[in-house]
Amino acid sequence: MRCESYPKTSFYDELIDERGEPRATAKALCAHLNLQSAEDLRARREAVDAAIMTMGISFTVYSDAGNIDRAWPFDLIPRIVPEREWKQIDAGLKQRLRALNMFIEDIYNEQDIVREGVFPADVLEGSVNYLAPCEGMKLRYGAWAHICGTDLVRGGDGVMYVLEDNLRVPSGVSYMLENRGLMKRLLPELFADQAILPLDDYTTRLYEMLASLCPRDTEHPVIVVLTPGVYNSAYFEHSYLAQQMGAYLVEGTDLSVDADDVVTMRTVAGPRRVDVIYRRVDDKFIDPEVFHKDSVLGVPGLMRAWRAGKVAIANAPGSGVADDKIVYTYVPDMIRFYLNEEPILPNVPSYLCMREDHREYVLAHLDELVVKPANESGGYGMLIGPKASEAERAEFAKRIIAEPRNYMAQPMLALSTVPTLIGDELAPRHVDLRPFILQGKEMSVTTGGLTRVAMREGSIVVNSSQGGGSKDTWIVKEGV
Amino acid sequence: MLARVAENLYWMGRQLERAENTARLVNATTQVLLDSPTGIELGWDELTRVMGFPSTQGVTEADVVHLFLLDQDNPGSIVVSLRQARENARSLREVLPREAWEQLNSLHLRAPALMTAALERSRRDAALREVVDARLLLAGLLNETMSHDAAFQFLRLGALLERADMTSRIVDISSAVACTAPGGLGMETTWISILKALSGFQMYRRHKNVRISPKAVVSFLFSDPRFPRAIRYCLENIESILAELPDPADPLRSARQTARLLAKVEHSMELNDGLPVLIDEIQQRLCELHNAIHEHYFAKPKPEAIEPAQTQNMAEA
Repeated sequence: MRCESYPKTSFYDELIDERGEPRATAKALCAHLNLQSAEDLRARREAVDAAIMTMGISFTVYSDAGNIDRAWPFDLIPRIVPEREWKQIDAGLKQRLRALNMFIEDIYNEQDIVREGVFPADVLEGSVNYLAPCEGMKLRYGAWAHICGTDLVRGGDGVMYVLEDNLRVPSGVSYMLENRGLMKRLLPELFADQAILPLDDYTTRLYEMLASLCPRDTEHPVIVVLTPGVYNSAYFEHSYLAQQMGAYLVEGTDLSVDADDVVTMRTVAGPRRVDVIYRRVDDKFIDPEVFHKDSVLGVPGLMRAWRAGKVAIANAPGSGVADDKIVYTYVPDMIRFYLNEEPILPNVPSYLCMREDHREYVLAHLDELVVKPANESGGYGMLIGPKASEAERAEFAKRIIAEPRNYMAQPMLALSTVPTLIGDELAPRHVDLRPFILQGKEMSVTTGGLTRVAMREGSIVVNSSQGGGSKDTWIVKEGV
Repeated sequence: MLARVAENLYWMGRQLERAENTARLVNATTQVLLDSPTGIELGWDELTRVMGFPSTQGVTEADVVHLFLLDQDNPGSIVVSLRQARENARSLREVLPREAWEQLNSLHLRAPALMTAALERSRRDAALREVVDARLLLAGLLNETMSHDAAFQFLRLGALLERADMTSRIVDISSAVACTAPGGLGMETTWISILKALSGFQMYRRHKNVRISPKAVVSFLFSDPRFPRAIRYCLENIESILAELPDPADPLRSARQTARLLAKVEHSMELNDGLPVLIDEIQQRLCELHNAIHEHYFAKPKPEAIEPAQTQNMAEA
């Protein structure tokens, strides 16, 4: 397997520079790959696939034919980020989440940012994720989105941009941890002679962050992970995190709220008080008394308990107000407004369809733009202009005119690539990067994140539900 | 311990035990028939009967083996039991040791190919033994790497209850085959095969008798307090597990009633049809014990009855 035969493209490649040479931090990896025959790599890959099957690392795909539990697609070739660059990213991510949390608390209270004219009132009015039952709440440490998964992409100019902030129920961290476990189990020699930063103990930090939210003064808070159940696409992750933290994995039917607004879980010895809920259920489903009346995933009375301060919920209900592709475009302004700092990480340039001038531009340039709905996740419901047909673009134009608040557009990014094992060859495939940021009493960022890769040639859709795979992510010290 | 989690553990225990015992049972039946004179097709329809299927005349070995090993519509077939155990384990990954999950997942993934191989007589013994061995490895992993906490006890509770039930069924078929065998065929051979299927042959010889008599074998498999596959052993362990659980009076009473029936075994064998009747009764009691455990630890509290006036209000709303 020769890195020299890797095809050159016009995209920025994370491992190979424009002359076809390995970047400084990828030299050791390429030297190692050069020693491997195609058969060696094939054997390694088969071992990886077998390990994934046995370990039962899976995710669920929803389809017409029922829900399928699929093995997690993993590519052997890691993505490498130089440590110096990572330090900048780490600082930028913390800055961003700090501002987002200040924004959420402000929006549900004084709304200074609207009054000062920095954030337009009409954007707020159109937000489907603004939850009136959260008004007037002040939370411990000012933290609402305690767990944030921020998607980063590198453009053709080599700059790392923030694509979106996932503040509702971001997933993927368990796969990040499993990916590292797989790499160490199957390619241990790669770790022996390089300075690859270890993944910090994310689950310990997550536990400590959740414990710091406990409303009671107790040594041993009862922490639960609230899952929609075994058929949810991220169920593997819910059970993984509960297992790693020694927390209870509960479903809505296991919990109830008593007359004193205390949340309890149903145990074989009767009801037991719950202090902190790490919910992996969308906030509109957590309490049928307040939101969707027919939700069976939630717990009647949960909002009451939360408002009374008897239980902590992470992420707090209402955090989704800042997880909206329109609100996203104002994050740099939030950073300036609340922190009086310049944003460290840039946003992708964006056009808001609710602004008349922007909308006209978008409609005139649909064949160059990626148009996204404000509130969908998982890569659903978006238009990739340059790849869409004339009819698809016309159809989308109608939707934009009908519901301008619901759409925004960005230039089609020339997403960076990483060499990926396709058959017996290394081929460039587009990637993004999702680090996870925690905010409770303290703040922390994972060392690296989950690198997702679009396995189909030329595709930029990295979601696992749509044929994406993943890679281990290395933060490597230069010059060691 | 969450009630839902306790229930899933209990069922996982039952399903694993079911798979193991079905493998033992089919293997034992095959062994017995290998010892029979050619042309005799005894046993297979008995097997379906004791496992609770309507007895069908003229079922062939291939039909029955397929039914117990591979049939997707038979909730007790080995592949289905293992799949359900694995589905339960998937919802229990936060309480099970990781190695145990991997072992079960791997067994589940291998099961269809193994059971297909077992359709052939020549490969059956090896394939069924592999299932039994894999299950025992899993039991060992759980016993040696999992805290013996409430979660572990619910897993064990399910396994012991299922085992007691399966042992009663295995004795049922053995006595039926032994009784109907023409010319006193292999009375002894049949019981030896059954003891071997339950890994009980050596233990029987050491603790009971060198000679094989139906009465002694049945009383060993029913009433021995030290042999882990004997019904008494299972029930006594169920009692001590229950005693440690919160508020166990009802299920405990049910377990003791079941155990009391075991004293009647030797007497029942002197009566015509006494043993099958007793076995039915034991299975019935085990079923009641299951219901008592379910009601007590797993079932949701029933919603309080709504007053008529309230019902009307709700209808208006």
